[in-house]
Amino acid sequence: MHLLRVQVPDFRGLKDIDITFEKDFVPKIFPLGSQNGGGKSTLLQLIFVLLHCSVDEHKIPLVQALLQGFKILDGEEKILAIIDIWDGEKTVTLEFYCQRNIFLEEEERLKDEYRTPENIIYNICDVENFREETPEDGTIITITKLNCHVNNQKKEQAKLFLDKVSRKIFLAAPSTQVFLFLPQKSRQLLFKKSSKGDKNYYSELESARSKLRGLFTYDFLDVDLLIEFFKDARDRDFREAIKTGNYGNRYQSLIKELNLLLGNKRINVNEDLSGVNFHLYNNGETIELYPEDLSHGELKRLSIYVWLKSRNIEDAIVLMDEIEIAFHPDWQYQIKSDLEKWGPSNQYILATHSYALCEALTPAHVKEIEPKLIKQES
Amino acid sequence: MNLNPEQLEEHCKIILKSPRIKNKIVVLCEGPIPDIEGTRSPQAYKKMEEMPDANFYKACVPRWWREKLPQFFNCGDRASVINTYLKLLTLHKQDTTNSYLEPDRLFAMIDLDLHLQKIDDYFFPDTEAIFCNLYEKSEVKAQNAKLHRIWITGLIHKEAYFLTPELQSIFDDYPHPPMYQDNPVEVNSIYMDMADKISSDPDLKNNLNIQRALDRINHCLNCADLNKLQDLWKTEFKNTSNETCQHQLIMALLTIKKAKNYWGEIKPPVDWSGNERVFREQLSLEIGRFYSAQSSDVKCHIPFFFNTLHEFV
Repeated sequence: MHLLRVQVPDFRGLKDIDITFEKDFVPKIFPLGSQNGGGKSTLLQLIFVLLHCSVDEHKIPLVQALLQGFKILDGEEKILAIIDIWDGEKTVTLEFYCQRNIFLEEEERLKDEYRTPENIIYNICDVENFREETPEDGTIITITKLNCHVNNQKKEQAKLFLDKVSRKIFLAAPSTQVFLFLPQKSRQLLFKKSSKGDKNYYSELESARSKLRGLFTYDFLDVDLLIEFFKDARDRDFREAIKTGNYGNRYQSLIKELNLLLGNKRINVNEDLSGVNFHLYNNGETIELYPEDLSHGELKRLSIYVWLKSRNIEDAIVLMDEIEIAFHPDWQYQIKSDLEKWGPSNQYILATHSYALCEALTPAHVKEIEPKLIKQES
Repeated sequence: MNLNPEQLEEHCKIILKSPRIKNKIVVLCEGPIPDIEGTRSPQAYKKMEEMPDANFYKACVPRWWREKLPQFFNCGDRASVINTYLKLLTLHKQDTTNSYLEPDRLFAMIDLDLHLQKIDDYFFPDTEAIFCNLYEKSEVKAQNAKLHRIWITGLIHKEAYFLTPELQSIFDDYPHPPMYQDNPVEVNSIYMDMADKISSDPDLKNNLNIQRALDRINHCLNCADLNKLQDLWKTEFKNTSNETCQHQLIMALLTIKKAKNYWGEIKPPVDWSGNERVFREQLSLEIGRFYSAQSSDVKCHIPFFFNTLHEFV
């Protein structure tokens, strides 16, 4: 799976975006730069939400939240995004567009100007749906729909493709990021005086995370995910014992891989699976390490590794926002080789401000959201 | 690109005042100096028409070297690299308060060429003297390596390291097979083409260079006449089945015959979407990745160089 091209004519701060990610570039790692506020995070979130959430009814509220405020006139049909995906054999073009129609409750539709026959449109959701009482015409219903048109495919096939893509798209971002797919009311709480606002926002984020298997936030260390990873290794070893009579070596390999990543530090899971522990081996001496003894950077590196491996992220489109945070420039440079090693079949799109990261790739790999020309008012 | 005195001084001052060299090893390399407007950002990197040559060397840094990576600077042509090296030391000495440089950690990597380049105020009088002290029979002389601050490649130009025999597997396994004259790259056929041009090579035919070239390779080809060298190399190469001898012949060839034009002949397959230069840049980074995984050995010049460098961290 490879994201070939994304076009966004006009969404929030994004204007006339048209970026190509060549499928034959080696490696398939594309830094995405822009100025602060240039729209990198918005673009990644838009791609992620459209591709990850469109076919799952439980995730539709996240799509609706993202599109809140997307302006569209009565009777208008407006492109939200066109996303080209290489599925391994052919290019599939996904055209996401919104359509705003007005109906009279008692009469036929006043406006129903579908550009394409209905059987090749996949309706994702209603973005807006409201009724208005008027003395002249009675009840007027206004509906804004989000649709997707997939390569002239019938809607059943379109849904199947969207479903396939939804399992192959991932987003990693700092938890301090403002996520546009959270309800606007929750986002607004971040600017409220009360400390409750902050709490509510993060509980909304936690709730969204539980729904979105493709979302990962760079927290201190995702201990739950790490324990899940250990449990999975344990279960696989046990299954092998049932099958062959001998325990497998997944747990041993996992410990070895994680320790290799940590240099002279060692990690293990607590016997009761309640957490993990770290030790430092130095000149034959073993010292127990506490959270403050581990650097933010090494924990983040460990977290990303565990996320990619435990979620079996392969042949996927992985969007990563501000991956370089907490990494020294030397480690930023090595992000490319780490990702190549940990998940070589994936495509990575990295929203970044890091020059060091880019140096590991060719200038042609780097994509940019160009600054918009702002006309000075006289 | 040769820097005039003003450009040289300005270039050196930029390096000396660059915080990224603080407590770091600095390596000066050949290649155009990138013109970066404003801060070093992804956008500035994207704007570069070509990938800086130094990025190849950076990609070669061994995988186990994760912290305090050397800092590379493109400095123009070979003479400019040498001049930058010497000028940096002078300027640092004049005003250490305005410099992040640690003189003991300053290195340069220049390309071997057929032409000789004189060097004033250095332990060795010229580039050939550095080469002769640093290499013997295409291998690094390990005991001498620590003496050197201005390193010279053991093969002519860094592009020779893009075409060494051990890279055949990289070309074979690359997802988009690199092509040479419309066929997937076979390094042996490139060597034969290079050998075919020995007699007509204007650089080799230059009277000032002939003896120097013959001296470099006399450990494996005893030949006193350049006109006979072409046939001698080809005959020996075809007739030997001994891998070590064959490897020695290839290294000898890459020590006297420039590989740059042949590297320029490496093309992407027809269905590749980008341009040729970008294809070669990406391939060169893959080659860098290959070198970064090699262990230090006197036969592998680049990994050996970095291993020596690491002792200065």
